[in-house]
Amino acid sequence: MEYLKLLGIGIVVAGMALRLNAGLVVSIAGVATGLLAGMSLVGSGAEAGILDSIGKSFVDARVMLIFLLMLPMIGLMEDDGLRERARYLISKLASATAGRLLWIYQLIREIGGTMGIRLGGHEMMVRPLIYPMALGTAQDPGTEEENLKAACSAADNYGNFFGQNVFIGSPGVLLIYQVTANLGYNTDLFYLAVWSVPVAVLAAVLGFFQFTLMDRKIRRKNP
Amino acid sequence: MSFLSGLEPIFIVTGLVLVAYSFFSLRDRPLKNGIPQACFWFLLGTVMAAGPYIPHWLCGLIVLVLVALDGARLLGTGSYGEKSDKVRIQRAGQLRERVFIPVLLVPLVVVAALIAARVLKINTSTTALVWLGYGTMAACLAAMIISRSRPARLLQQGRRISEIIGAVLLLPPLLASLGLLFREAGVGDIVARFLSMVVPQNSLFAGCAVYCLGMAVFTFIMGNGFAAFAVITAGIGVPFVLQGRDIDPNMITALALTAGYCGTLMTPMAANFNIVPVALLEMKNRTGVIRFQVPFALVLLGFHIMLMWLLAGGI
Repeated sequence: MEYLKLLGIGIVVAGMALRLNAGLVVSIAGVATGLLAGMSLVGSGAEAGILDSIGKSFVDARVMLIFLLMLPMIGLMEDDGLRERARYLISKLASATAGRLLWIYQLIREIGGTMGIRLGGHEMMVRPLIYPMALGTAQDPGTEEENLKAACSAADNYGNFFGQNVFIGSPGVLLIYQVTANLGYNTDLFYLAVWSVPVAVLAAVLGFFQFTLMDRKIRRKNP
Repeated sequence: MSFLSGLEPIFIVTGLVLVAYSFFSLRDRPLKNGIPQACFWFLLGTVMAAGPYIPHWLCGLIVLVLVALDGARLLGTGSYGEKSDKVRIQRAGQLRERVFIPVLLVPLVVVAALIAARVLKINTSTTALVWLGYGTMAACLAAMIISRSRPARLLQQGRRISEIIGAVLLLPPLLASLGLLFREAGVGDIVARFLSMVVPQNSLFAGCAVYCLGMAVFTFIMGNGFAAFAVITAGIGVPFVLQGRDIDPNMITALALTAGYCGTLMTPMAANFNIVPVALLEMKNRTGVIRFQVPFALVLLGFHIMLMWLLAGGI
């Protein structure tokens, strides 16, 4: 009978896997978990209800929405050519090999992430700029094309994922802060960001190895 | 003074910005989806600015209404008076590197404030967050000065990105609520009892391994590292790693989230990152991006387990 409480986890997993609306899935899982635990919808007296619990935790979690205040500034600068400028600066990077170019792109994306900006993106950077630049270094574009496309996308993902948590205002860091607080553990934005540095560095080192290996493979094919 | 050094003023400013969005949305497209979009910003802004003064159950109801507005597909994007590509490229040439100043200002203010707080020996438990808020406000001002714009344009461009992101921005706080409900219902204890049949609860290494692998596997299944974090930290992280041990939760949980991102690199469920590029670049192999990323992800996941164990005092 107690295992019924796990239904909430099941709902989240199934709903997300089926690509249903994420907000709806999470809300339904929350309400179901509360009902199975015997909570009422609206509490009475000292007893908290499900709506009280959702409302209180949302108000406590407003910290996670502070990043919304950053969007006007980013939007304004984007409309004044922030991305175009970044794209121009990257396009001036001359690089002899595709692997080296992609590693540098990963680094730039990671460093941008540590300051809270999305400098890349598959639509914004990879297709119009990074992929053509990588292809420009190829000696035999016909055979390398498919592999280079995968590598360009991967460089963007690596840089995107593992740099962003070094920024203390990133949604990931704010999520950890609030979830751990709800679970009774005190975390600190600054230290969460600091402890995200080792993985950011490791990801950069691993990227260096993978892209260097890729260069070597290409060279062996076209001696 | 104590009011200004807390987070409430920042919440109020953010809330007012969101309420302002609602007026722009209403004016922008009153007949299309402007009315539900305006309701969304108005309600969210109200909870943001005045949450503590509204009864909890009413806030809960508002949150569910916000989710329902999105679930019923009533939200969308409008027009924001943005510049044409040609004008924007021209502007980029005029502003040059100055266009990056406001963005760099945010971390600069935070780090400077933290150093100042350390030197003046001020308690820093929430200072970083507060300065993040004020740093952001300073950056918004700097952006207006550099681009010589009025506040209306600042708000319009903020609304542009916010409406592109859409109701997904509600997800992190919703997941935090879910974590809380899980805790109140005792979900963590049940998962822990279930898992402890296979995993020795007193082994630190096993705990770190299960926490990292659990993050990766759940992210793989759901395609969303944030959702996995809320579920797995309550179910595995606390009972198997943190509970009863004197470990810094900052390093453990920071590592857990990026362990989840290793799962993101390997799953077709994270379509934005792994499947959309396949289409964008017109690749032949649908799983080409994932295949390239798997070795990287597995090695990095292994490092996560080792690192978590080492930092938690495994030796």
